[in-house]
Amino acid sequence: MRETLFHGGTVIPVDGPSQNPDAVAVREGRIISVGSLPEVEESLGTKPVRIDLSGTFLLPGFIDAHSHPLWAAKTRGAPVVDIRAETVPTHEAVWRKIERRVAAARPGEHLLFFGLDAQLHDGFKAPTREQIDEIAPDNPLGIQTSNCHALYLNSAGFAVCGIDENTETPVGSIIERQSCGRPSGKIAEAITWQALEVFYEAWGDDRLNDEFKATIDEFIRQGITTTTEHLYLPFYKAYYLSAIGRGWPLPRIAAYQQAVTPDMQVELMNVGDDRLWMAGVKIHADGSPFIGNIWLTEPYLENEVTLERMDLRAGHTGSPNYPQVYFEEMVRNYVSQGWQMTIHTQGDRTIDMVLDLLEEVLADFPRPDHRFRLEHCALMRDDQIERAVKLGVLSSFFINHITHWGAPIEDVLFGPKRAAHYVPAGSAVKQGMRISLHADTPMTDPSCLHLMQAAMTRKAGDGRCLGPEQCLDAETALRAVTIDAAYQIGKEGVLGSISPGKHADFVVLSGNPLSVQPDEISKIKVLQTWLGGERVYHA
Amino acid sequence: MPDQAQSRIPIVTIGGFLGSGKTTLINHVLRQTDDQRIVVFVNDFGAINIDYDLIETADTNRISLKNGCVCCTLNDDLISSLKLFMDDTDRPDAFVIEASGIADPRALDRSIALLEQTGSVRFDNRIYIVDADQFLNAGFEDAETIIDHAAAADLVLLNKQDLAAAADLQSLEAVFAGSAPNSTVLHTCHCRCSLELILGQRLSSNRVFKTENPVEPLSGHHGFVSWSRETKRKLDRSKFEQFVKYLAATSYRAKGRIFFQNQTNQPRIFSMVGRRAVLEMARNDDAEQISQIVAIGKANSLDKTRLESWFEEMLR
Repeated sequence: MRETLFHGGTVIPVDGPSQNPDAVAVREGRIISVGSLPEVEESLGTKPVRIDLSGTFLLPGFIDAHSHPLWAAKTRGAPVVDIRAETVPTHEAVWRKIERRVAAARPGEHLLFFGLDAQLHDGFKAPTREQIDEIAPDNPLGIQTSNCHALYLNSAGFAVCGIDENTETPVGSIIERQSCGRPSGKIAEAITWQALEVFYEAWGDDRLNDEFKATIDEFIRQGITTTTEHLYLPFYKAYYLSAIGRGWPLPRIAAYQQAVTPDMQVELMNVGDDRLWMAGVKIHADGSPFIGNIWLTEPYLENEVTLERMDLRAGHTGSPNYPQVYFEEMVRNYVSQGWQMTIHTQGDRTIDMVLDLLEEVLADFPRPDHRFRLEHCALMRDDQIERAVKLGVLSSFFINHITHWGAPIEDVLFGPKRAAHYVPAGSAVKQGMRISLHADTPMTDPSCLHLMQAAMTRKAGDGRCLGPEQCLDAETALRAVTIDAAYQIGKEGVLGSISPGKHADFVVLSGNPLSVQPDEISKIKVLQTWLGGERVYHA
Repeated sequence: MPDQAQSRIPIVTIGGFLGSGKTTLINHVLRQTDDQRIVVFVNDFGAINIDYDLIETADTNRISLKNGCVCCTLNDDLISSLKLFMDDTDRPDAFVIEASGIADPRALDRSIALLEQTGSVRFDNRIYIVDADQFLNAGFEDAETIIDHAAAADLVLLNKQDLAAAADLQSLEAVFAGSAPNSTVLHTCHCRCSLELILGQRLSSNRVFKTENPVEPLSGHHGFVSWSRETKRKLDRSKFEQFVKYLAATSYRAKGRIFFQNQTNQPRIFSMVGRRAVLEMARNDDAEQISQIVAIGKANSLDKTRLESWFEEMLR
């Protein structure tokens, strides 16, 4: 019988009855006791493996409640070229990099670039099909925006993706066109992700498996032992099973299937002991604030960025992704199958629409513990939070919008008042909601310590604080990446805290996130990661 | 521009591929420091070739020089090593840190940016050295890595320019102009360049600057000139910030001791590298209350006439 004893450090159980425990016992991958060292020793046999924490801090493994590990491997790993503004500073520099990559390309090689950014790339101009054709006449080439929601293609790219003047625009998608109907370069929302699959497929499975391994390692290095695959598609399963089969240290995965399959069937899936399971359905009610695809009651600000770079009309208030009738039909169908719904909502008008619908659906089919979630929640208003709490609807906040795009959110997109209430995690907690935080990888890099710091300081890249009254305290922020995140994926009984009976998933940290200065949290080092009683990472 | 409570120790980082010339540059810094106390962190002592007669004491991971400088090996815990020196009674005038030749220098930048938040150090200058002779032989991946790193630097040294053909240098120049637009690019041989570009100018309380000859060539490197002015009039804060915007567009580095209107007699120390500028409280009062500004820029972009008129505008 395999037994492990952790001692010699500070145990932060996050939840549960133990008061200031200093030891934890693990048997066969589960926690069997938590308490003082003599108490805990008593619960074990004579020869447990003793792990001396040497004054460091033992916490439950982190949970990022909304991410896309496999999709991140597809989107960000080589041979995708990183052109995010943090790497390539200006629009001209992006263009030069694309030219150099095309010059080094093999004939017919599929080329993809990730990270074009209307807000962060100085001198941004939306590329046209003709401009891309000029530098890449032969190779299929796509330039994906940093928010993942849009893709610019050249003619060869449109050809391999099978999109032309005769292609009908699918529901929930955008194809920008010339007056003759010919696609003019930009596509957005659902069709983007279908088009990208053509590129990923062209690169083959070896590439994807290598990149998937690298992505998994990164989550584990950050102490993340459970996360989600939002936008799961049925063919992902093979890659996941292969990862488990090869013994890779895959975090536990709650899959949320993408609501696009025409028959709206969701695969029942439950692999291993809480290793990989179908948790629910992900559906987009709107899109990204950074390309204007969200639905608002108050319009965007009007300036060079919104009117020229983003090409929005004055007074732009956006729209939902799907016609309301169609959206309602999808939601009702999935709800009737009994799935947990996680709904992508950014604009406040979208949230009005979704709450109206959920209220109706729940009146028709009452479900006591549905845990329906709203994802990201950029511009959620206080009255909407109140409504959500009454309905039992939960928010998962994409807090890194503040750290990565805080300045443009305030200065050019929404103004100071809306910026101070952007991703309003503080309001939600005050009204009694159990919230979670997420990095939405690949949009931002996985790190729950960074999420905590972002939610506690709300500091943008330039140091300004967006809405100090929305800052979380350390304990709430920690719960939002452990036990409350476990609650949101329906696994609070087995994950999210150091309590007897739960999986022995831990992170060992160099500092205590509950007591260091909020600005210093991301400096804390992840020293070890434990998954199901096995050490899977050691610094 | 952030206004800091007290003066902090500037940190300069030096990045570049193996063999690009990082150690050469560090040797220059250690030999030319004048009377500044510089603490240098390097990857490998073996590569540092310090003249025997300059060395005061040496042990396995620390060499003290007679001129007051110290050279340390970079260990796992850079941050606590820095803190040791900061708590020293003889505080260093600057830290210089060599990034490992294989690691991404931006990772080092990030940990220094974090340290900066503690208020004890100031991120001053990020230098990246490119081997001008080898760059064009690098494959696509390596070349792009170098370009990405250079784009994150304040100052890029296109080193070994003597070994590269003129046409190659020109195409290199074009690559970095297009892809590292926020970095100042300088051609060097053996990393020879003025220490003032690396560590910044020294402000002198005995006022060596001459107002009648405001632009003068900089010793050590032609192609760069310096400009300086001083005034007894106290400056308006918002007009000064406006002036700094122009300064940033025309010069690479600037430093100043500034007396503002409606503030105490304690001057602010102003430093600017590339597009980043900070103000911080000087450590001691200054009886004379004369504001000074000194700037360094490329001879073809530092526009003396406009600087003069903007300076006058600021005084008005």
